[in-house]
This record gives sequence, C-alpha cells and structure tokens, in this order.
Amino acid sequence: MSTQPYRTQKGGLVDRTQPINFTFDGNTYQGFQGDTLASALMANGVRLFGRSFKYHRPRGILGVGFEEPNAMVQLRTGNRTEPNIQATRIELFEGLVAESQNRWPSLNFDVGALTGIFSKLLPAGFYYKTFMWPASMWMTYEHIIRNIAGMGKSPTTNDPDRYAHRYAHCDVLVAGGGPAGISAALVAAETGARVVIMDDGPKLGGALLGCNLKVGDQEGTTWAQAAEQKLRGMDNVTVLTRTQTAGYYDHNMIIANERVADHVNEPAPFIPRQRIWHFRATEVVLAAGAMERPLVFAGNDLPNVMLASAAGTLANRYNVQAGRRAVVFTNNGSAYTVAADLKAADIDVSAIIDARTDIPSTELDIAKAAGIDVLLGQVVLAAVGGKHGVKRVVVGDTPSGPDVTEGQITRTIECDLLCVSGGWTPSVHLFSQSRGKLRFDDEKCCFVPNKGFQRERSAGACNGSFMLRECLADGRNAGSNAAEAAGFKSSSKELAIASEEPDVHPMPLWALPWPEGNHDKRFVDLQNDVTAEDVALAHREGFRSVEHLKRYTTLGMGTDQGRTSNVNGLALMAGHKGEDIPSVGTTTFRQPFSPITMGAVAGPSINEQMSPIRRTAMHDWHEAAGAPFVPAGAWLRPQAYPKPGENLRDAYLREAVHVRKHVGIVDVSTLGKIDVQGKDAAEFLNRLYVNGFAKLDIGKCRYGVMLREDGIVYDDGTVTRLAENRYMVTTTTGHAGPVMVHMERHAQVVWPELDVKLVSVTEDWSAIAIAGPKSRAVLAKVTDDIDVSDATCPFMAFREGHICGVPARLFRISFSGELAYEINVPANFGATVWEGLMKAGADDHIVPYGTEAMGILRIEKGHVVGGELNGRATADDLGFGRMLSAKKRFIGDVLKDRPALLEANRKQLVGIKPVDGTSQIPRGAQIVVNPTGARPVPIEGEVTSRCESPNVGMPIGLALIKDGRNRMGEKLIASSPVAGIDVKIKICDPVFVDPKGERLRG
Amino acid sequence: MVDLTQSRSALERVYTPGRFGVSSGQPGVMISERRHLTLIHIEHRDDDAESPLMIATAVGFPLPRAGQIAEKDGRRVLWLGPSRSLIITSGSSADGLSDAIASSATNAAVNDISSSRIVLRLSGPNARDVLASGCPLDLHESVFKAGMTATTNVDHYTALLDCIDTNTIDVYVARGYGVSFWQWLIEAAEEFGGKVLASS
Amino acid sequence: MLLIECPWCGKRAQTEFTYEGDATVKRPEDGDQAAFHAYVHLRENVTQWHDEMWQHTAGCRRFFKACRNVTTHEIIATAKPKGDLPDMSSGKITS
Ligand SMILES: [Zn+2]
Repeated sequence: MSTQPYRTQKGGLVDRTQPINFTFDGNTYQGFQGDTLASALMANGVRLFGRSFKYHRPRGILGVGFEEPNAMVQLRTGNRTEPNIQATRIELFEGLVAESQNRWPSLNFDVGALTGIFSKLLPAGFYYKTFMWPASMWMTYEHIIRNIAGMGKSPTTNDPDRYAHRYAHCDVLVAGGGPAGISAALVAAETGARVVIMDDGPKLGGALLGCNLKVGDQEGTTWAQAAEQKLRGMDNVTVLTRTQTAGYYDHNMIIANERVADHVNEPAPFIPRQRIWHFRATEVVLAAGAMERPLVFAGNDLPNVMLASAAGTLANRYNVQAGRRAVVFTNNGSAYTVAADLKAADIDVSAIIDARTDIPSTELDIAKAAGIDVLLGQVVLAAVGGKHGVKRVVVGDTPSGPDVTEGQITRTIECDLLCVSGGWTPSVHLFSQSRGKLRFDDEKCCFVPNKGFQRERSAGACNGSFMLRECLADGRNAGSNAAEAAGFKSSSKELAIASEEPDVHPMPLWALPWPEGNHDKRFVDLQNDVTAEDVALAHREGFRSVEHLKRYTTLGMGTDQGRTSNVNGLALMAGHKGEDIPSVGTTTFRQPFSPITMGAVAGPSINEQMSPIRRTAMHDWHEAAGAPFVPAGAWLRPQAYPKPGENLRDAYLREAVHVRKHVGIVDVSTLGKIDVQGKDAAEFLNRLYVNGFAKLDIGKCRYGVMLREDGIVYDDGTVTRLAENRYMVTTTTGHAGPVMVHMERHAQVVWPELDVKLVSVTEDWSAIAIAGPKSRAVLAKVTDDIDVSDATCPFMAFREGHICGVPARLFRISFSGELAYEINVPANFGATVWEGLMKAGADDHIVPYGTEAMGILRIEKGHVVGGELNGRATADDLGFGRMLSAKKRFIGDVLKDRPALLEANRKQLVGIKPVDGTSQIPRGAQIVVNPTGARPVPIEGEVTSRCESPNVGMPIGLALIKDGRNRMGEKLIASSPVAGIDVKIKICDPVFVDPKGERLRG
Repeated sequence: MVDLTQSRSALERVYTPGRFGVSSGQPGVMISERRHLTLIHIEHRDDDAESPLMIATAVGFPLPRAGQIAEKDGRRVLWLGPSRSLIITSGSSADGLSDAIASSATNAAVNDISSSRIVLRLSGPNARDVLASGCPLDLHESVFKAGMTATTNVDHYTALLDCIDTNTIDVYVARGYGVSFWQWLIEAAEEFGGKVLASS
Repeated sequence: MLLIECPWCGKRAQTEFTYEGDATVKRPEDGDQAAFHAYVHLRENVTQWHDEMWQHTAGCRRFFKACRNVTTHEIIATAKPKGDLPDMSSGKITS
C-alpha cells in the first residue's frame, strides 16, 4: 500500500478490498470504500487542504465531521460542481474530483498569502473601517476583495440533477444516530410508535464508530450495526442515513436534508440527488452529539493541529495515522482514551500535555498502560511548522491566570501531529432553534439544554452526557419518555453495559499566552480567521454585546456558524468584560444547522412547477393556432393569433378591426364565476354591490360594481339571476380568488344569519365571448333551442339551452361594445364548442381574437379593468357615481363618504387622444401641464390604459385626470420620463366608439 | 343526454399510457385518469336539519360524517367541509340525480361541477409516497384509511383526496391546473417507477 | 410551519390556511364613520396572545378564530366564528 503511506493494516470500517480512485487538485490518489475525502487524503499523506479565508494561511483538517471549519472543497466539475463542501463529510466515490479553495494560482503557491504578511493591516472590522467610505466605492472594493477572499465558485450552468421533497409524520423523531439516538430509537420502536431516526453519516453509530468502546460484550461498531439492522427491519421505523437534521421549527416540524445520491458520481436515472424531509413529530428526541473544542494558542491553525477526537477517529474508523509522532494537548480526560488509541495504531505518542495539575488516577492509568508520558500542569504555548504541517510544539507551564501575557517555555517537542482537546461543546443547535433555553454548566465548561419549549428532550452528548454509558442510559430514558408522551406504553429495558472511560473533568482554559519570541496568530474562529486579539480589539472598541462582537469580528459567521469557536470566543469576551460566561450569553442558533444546497430547498419547484400554470379548455387550440401567451394571474391567455407573415401587432390590429366589421370569438374562461344561492342571495348581493339586485328579473344580467369597506372600488362584473334564489356572479380574472374570499368572509363571519351558499364554478365553465355584427347569425347556426333574436334575447338577457349540442348558458353581454354574447359551457366541452363556432362562422369570416384586441376594443368603449381599478379610485372617479344606491346599505357605503374621497379635484376617468392624431401615448405616463417646468412638476393625472386604435384611427388612451370630466378638450402633456417621451394630448370622452350603444343593442 | 365523445380531457396533450421513470421491476405507482364522472356539489346551511334528509333520500343513503365518504350503488359521497358534500357517480346512476336532489332539497345549493376537476387514480405500493412528496397531510395507511377523504395541498396545488384502499387514492385537482399537476405528479413518481394506464 | 387545528377538519399544516386578520374587530351595525374607520384601519399592536381570523383555504373554506401567541407561535385554541376563545388578556401586552 505504498500509495497510502499513512494507512494502517487492520481493523476499522474501510473496505480494503474496494479501492477507489479520486483526484484532488489535479493529483490522482487511491482510497477505500468507507473513506471520506478527508480520510483518504490523510491516508495519502496530504496535510494541506486549503487556504484560510482572510489571511490565506495554510490549513489542514481540524475535525472529521460536521465540525470541520477549514477543509472545504469545490466538489465535482462542470454543471455538477458545488462549492464549500466539507471534505470530512464527502464520502469517497470512484472518479471523485475535488479542488481546494481560497488559493490562487495554486494551493502551494498562493498570492493571497501575502495578506498574511500584511495581516497587521487587517484587524477585525478592517473592511468596515476601510472600504465603507466613500459608500459609492464599496462596489469596486467588494469586487476585488471577493476575488481574493475566494470561497468556492458557483456553477454557471443549470444543475442537471433533481431534488425531491417529502412530508412525513411520526410519533417519535430521533435526531442523531449515535449511541444515545440508537438507544432512544430502539426503546421507542419497541412500543409500536412510529419512529424516525436520522443521522448525517452513511451508517448509524455516530461517535461510536470512531472510538474503541464496547457495548455489552460487543464492539461498539458491531452493536451499532446490529441495532441499525434491527431498526431497519421494523415496519414502524424509518432509518435515514446521510441525512442532516437541519432545522427545528414551530409545532414540532423538523426539516432534514437527505443526501440520497451524493455518495455516487451521479444519481441513477430519475433518482433525486437530495431530498428535503418535512417531519411533523409528536415527540422529539434530540441526540445530536457534541463537538470537541480546539484550544487557542499561537499557530493553532497549522495543518495537523487537529482535534484529538479527529485523530482518534482517523485511527479507529478510517485506519489512518494522522501522523507518525504525536503530541496530545488537553485540559480534560477525554483525550486520554484517544492517546491510547493512537498508540494502538502504531503512532508514537510523545506526550500528553495536560493543563491540569490534579487528575483522576483512571486517566493516568490509561496513559501508563499505553506507555505514554503525561506532563501535568503544562500547556502548548505555540505550534511551529509550515504549510505541510506542524513540526514541533513549544511547551510551558500552565498560566496562573488569564492576565499572564507571556508563557514560560519549559521544553520543545518535535512532532508531526498535535492533537488538542479543549473540552466538549454539546450540539444544542436544534434545541435552541426550538426556543429551548440553555444554561452554562461550570463543571463541564459548556452550555447545556435547560428548559425546553416544545415537545422535545435531549439525550447523550448534546445534553452534556459525554460518556458512552451516560449516552446509552440517557437515550433509553428519552426514548421511553418520548414514546409514553406520544401515548404508547413503554416497558423498561435492560441497560447495556458500556466500557469504562474517563469522565471529561475539563479545566477552563480559553487562550494561552504567547511564548517569548513567538507572536504568531492565536485563532479562535478558524473559518473566519478571527483571533484572540480580534476579540480583545472588539472589546476595546466598545462592542459589548455578543451579537455585536459577532458582526464586528465575523466570529461565528460563515458556513459553520461558530461550531468550534463560539464557546472560546464567548469565554474570551467574558474575560475581557470581567463577567462570567452565562452573563455574556450566546448568539442565536439559526436553521439550517449546516448549509443546504439551493436546489434541495427549491425541490421540484422549478420551471413550470415554481408557479403552476392554469390553462383554459381551449389552451391547446390557441397554442396550435400559434398564439403567444400572456400571464393573467396563474392563467395563460392568448395575446393574438398571428397569421403567416404577420407580427403580433399586425395580428391584433387586424383582429380588432375584424370584430367590429364581422365577428370574432375570444376565450374569457379566466373570469371568475361564483354561484350564489339561498333565500337571502339577493339581499347578500345587495350588500356586496353598490347597485341593487333584488329587482333583477330572472333571466337577466346586470353590471355590478363592488367597493372595499374603505370606499374604494374593488371589482366589477356581471350578476345574472338564474332563478328566484340563484345568481351567477362574474369577477375580473385577477380578483377571482380574493372576491370569493371576500364573499365567504361576509357570508360566514359578518352576516351568518343570511341564507347564502357560495360555490366557485370558475373551473367548471369554459367561457367564450362571440362579438361583432355577425355574432347573432353565427350563433343561430349552432343552437336549436335558444331563440337568439333581439326580441327574445335582448341586450342583458340570459338564456339556457344547447350550443353545438352542448348544454350551455348564454348571456347577451358585451365588453367590446359590439353585438355580443358570452357562452358558458362545461369545460370538458369548451374546446368542442370553440371549434364548432369556428366552423359555423367560417362563412361569416369568424376569427379568434386575443387579449390584445380585446384590450383595444374595451379601451375604445371606455371600459375599466385593472389599470383603472387601481385601488385608489372611487366609484364616482370611474364614472359609476350614478350606480351608487342610496336606498340600501352596502360594503363601503360609509367610508366612501370620507371628505377626501368627495373632494372636487379628484382624478376622474376620461379619454385621451394625441393632439397630432398620430403619436403613441406612452405607457404609464404622467399627465402634466409642463414637463419641463419648475420641479416638482405638478401631476394632473396618469395614463391608465393606452393602445393604437384601428377603429378610431389613432392612438387613444384612458386616464385618471384631476377634475377630468370638467376639462373636456383641454390639452395637456402625457409625459414618460422613463421612456423619455412627451406627447401632447387632448382630454375627451372615454367612450370612443358608438357612445350611444347602438351597436351592442343591434 | 350529453354526447360524451365530445368531451375533452384536460390532460389530452400529456396523457400517454405506458411505463415511465425507473423502469426496473414492478411499477411503484400506477396512474389512470377517471373520465366521464358526474360531480355534484351540494351545500346547505349548518342549521338546516331538513336538507340532509332530503338529500339522503334523493341519493339513497345518508351523507357522510366529517372527513368520511359514504358509498352505495355506484354513488360515492365525499365530505368536503361542514354542510358541503361532493357526489361522485357516473353512467346511469348519475342520470337526473342533480335535478332530483335540487327538486327535493330545495334549500340546498346544488351544482353539477363535473368539468371542474381532473380525477386521477393513483395505485400501487408507492402511491402514498408519491403524494407525500407534496402533501403535508399524514398519509400513513394507519392514519389516512380507506373511506377517508380530505381537501389539502399537494405541492402548490389544492387537491381533494379520496382514499379507496391501502394502495389506492383518487386525487381531484382543478381542471385548469391539470397539466401542471400532471407534470408534477409524473416527476414525483418517476423515482418509484410508474405506469400510466388507459383512462377510464 | 405551524400546525393549525381547523374546528371542522382537525389539525392541518399551515400551508392549507390563509391568515385573515384581526378577529377582535366587529363590523359596525350603523353608518357611523368613526366606527367604520376603526373597523377598517385601527389595530392593536399585540406582542403576545392575539385572537386571529384564519380561513381553511385549501380545505373546507371555513373561517375560524385562533388564539395565537405572535411571539412564540403557540396556538392555544381555535374556535368557530361564533365560538369563544380563552381569555388570555392577562398575558396580552399591547405597546
Ligand atoms: Zn377545515
């Protein structure tokens, strides 16, 4: 195995029979099935994984999992490339390609490292202080800074993979598959509860997989494997591995990110790469484990200065010697077991350097049995080395207090691996996200869960129970307690006996003084390059709140959110303030625990699924006819039907002329349709609309306007009386949903005493308007049982019968101002009837017309739509003043009379024409007297609709102009500073075509 | 009597019978469109004790309780909400039913909304998993059992679910969203292996 | 995402519902402008328990009331429009 010089020959969880080839920074290596990218690189002797964010210092790995702050890589290439992925969480797969980050042009020779030399110029807050003034230059600075700072590169092409979402429910959700989580799941599962257990790793076991402990008479790894098998075999249990519990939300909703196919080169066809799970759990067991803390001393960021647990896991799980000659530096008991494990992996452990002076004999016994020297009352003052790792450590006496500024050197020890353990930080992230309150445990030197908020309990290391036997017991209790709280009966189970191990017993030790002659940086936050000096500086400059400290120094920001740095940073800050750690408090823990790729967040909601499309029954016909579509709410509507050689404008101008000369049909299925029934239906509609409906005859339609309660026009449409107690109401396309809710609210909450039943029938009916002088002739050809003559079916009449053999409703209403009808047929027959009309109308030159021509026709008639129903106009503003009934109460009747809504100078609906008869009226223009006059230019009004009118023969528009109805003939300017166009216009009547309405009554 | 051959499915452009997605093994989910159903929406006031009895007489059996369905002789009644039901029927058992209910339960609001929804029958061992890709309801077979119904969300869509049996659920979605929903459904089903059956 | 109990359909995910405003306001009977102004525009800025109106939009379409803590999102009870919610006024803080 010369290709993997640091690989040991036996044990562990890698499969030596399955070699895997991979590439890192262009070099090819070999690892084994079961490796992570980090462990495989370590096995190959790679120590330099990347450069640091700010100073571009060489960095290796600090941890072996979630906690890793530095070893982030750009994974994969091309359209699957992904930045900022922790090498410690990447499972090795054949053909894996990864690149290091934060370096240019190469990892070994990095120009940005010069910033390290000038690093005295880059203290905390440097960017704020230097580059924020003048503010206008920040954009320039930012570009350069971002290039140097690097991080990874986003892909530039579409992600070829798919991402799924899944909702699931359970009685007991166990977040974390270490020993505590497994115990909890086993106990809860036995009760018959629906249990979900999730872990980030490829198999259950958690920290157990990285140490040499026993459960009962089994190896820990064997026990975990058997437990996983058992759980996977149970119908009521879901085991999710490679799944990060990312967020704990309200009402026991847990979001998890399953990396379904991240451990292979590319997902199998149709298999999602990742899946977001939305869990709703009755009870939750948090078993998220703990993370070891680094210690703060000069050069503590050198490659191969790593957490003791990481070195131990590399040896035990991945069979990798992190070095040949190790020094272990600790302030607690947990590192002793690791030291023994390293020794067992044939690593020469020079010494355990323990800051404590008085330690339990159990710990000494472990060292003695392994033949390792223990130096008590000693600390590492500095690590010294280069980009390929630590070479020696400078050791001194444990400082007598935090004020000691220079440490006394007692010796130097050569080594190529420095294992550090500064105690343990429970992963309280999920607990905190759930609004749980923390307390600081002085004995364990860490924050632990105190008072929970939701139906959850913490177990194991995330609860401050660091030892295996505690984890197993905690897990069992939590699992049983959770199942019972969810209503299941739990029988107490025999507790598995775990190996003895030393308790943690940490000694508070937050930052070590510099040794004489070495003032190298002492890093607190390795991801953001925040040093102990930065924390001190922040304090000196008056940043007293922990949240301010975070923002000023960037401590705890970035992808790892201060997992390894928070407690050290807080403790240093507390020291400066002369307070204890709990009074300094913590920053807020936010979801997600670890970054989730945006593709997974979006899931299937991309392309059309981002915003689903509503299609009318005639959609395919429109599409086949070559119509471009325009969105109207969720609907797509055909704009026009260009013939060969026509552009869109040609088409809609042709259509608009054709309808007034011959006949056309337009798809108006998107209008909202509401069926209103009940003894009090008439009274209900009377209260909704400004005009009355009680006296509307059966078989008649009436135009109606409704106000909002504040007196502003809300919507308009037609109301048709189908029967004594039954009406059909139409709404505008855009307001169909809100108007339905508005009606439901008043029917259910405000006037529940009224007998009224409401059903939205928009989807049930296809609606086709047929308009033009020939519309009656065409209609007569397709119906046998409706007399469409003006005598029996006059303007505003409603008839039922069959059209093209399909049961239909016929409304003689007109939006175009022409003789017109609206046909409603069940949507399943909409396309059939549309085609039938096209066929029947062929001799009369029938054409389909789209929304553009429809818009022209209605502007020519001065009909209002969304532009005029702008949420500010009153009924009188829009010319509906005479419709306001004084004989009844209706919504908006009181506030419509507020003084400001009755002012004489309000903007009123008028028509406008260009004075020269040819200039296009600019869209959205303001109406002014003199656009070049003194600023601010007084606004007289605004253009609400405009078009070219082929029937009037010039551009026309509708506008809301102050006191407009009294200013007929006045010339003003329609000014669009956006388009840079000023057009002289003349105010005119808003009805441009057939003001007497003779055509529609024809 | 309407000529059903004139009726057009909202899914005409996308509906292609055959296997899709993962092609190995048995399909995890089968999808078929149920066409030519008569859907009758009935609503009465909460304080109207009489209408439910009249409706029951016309339909042939009492209306279902909250969240339940009732079924007899090819007529299936789904609870939509308090005092609201949807009758699903087809062929001869649909004949004149809407009018019969309207004329006997005169205080109820009756609407034939047969065109308003697309109806898809999902069956197979992964039918529930497919829906759970977008539905926040607890669809576990021990919770959402045969004979239960719910209006809920399936991804961006509002959907009415009708649990036929352990492996079969009918899904009702607004007709206008039919094609979009179909695309969502097919994509969600692909990983389980699917098969579109002939529509019925 | 909240879990909200519709008085008719039971506990459902928040996505099925729409928030429909303050449930403590009542539409005035008479035509007093000041009363309508208050009904439409004036709201307490509650920081704790609040009686809200919700609609089960993607469900039974019914409006109902919910007493929700707007800080913690706890929902202590829901009720039909005419029903009563628990009096949480001692826990109500207005600012
Ligand atoms: Zn409901």
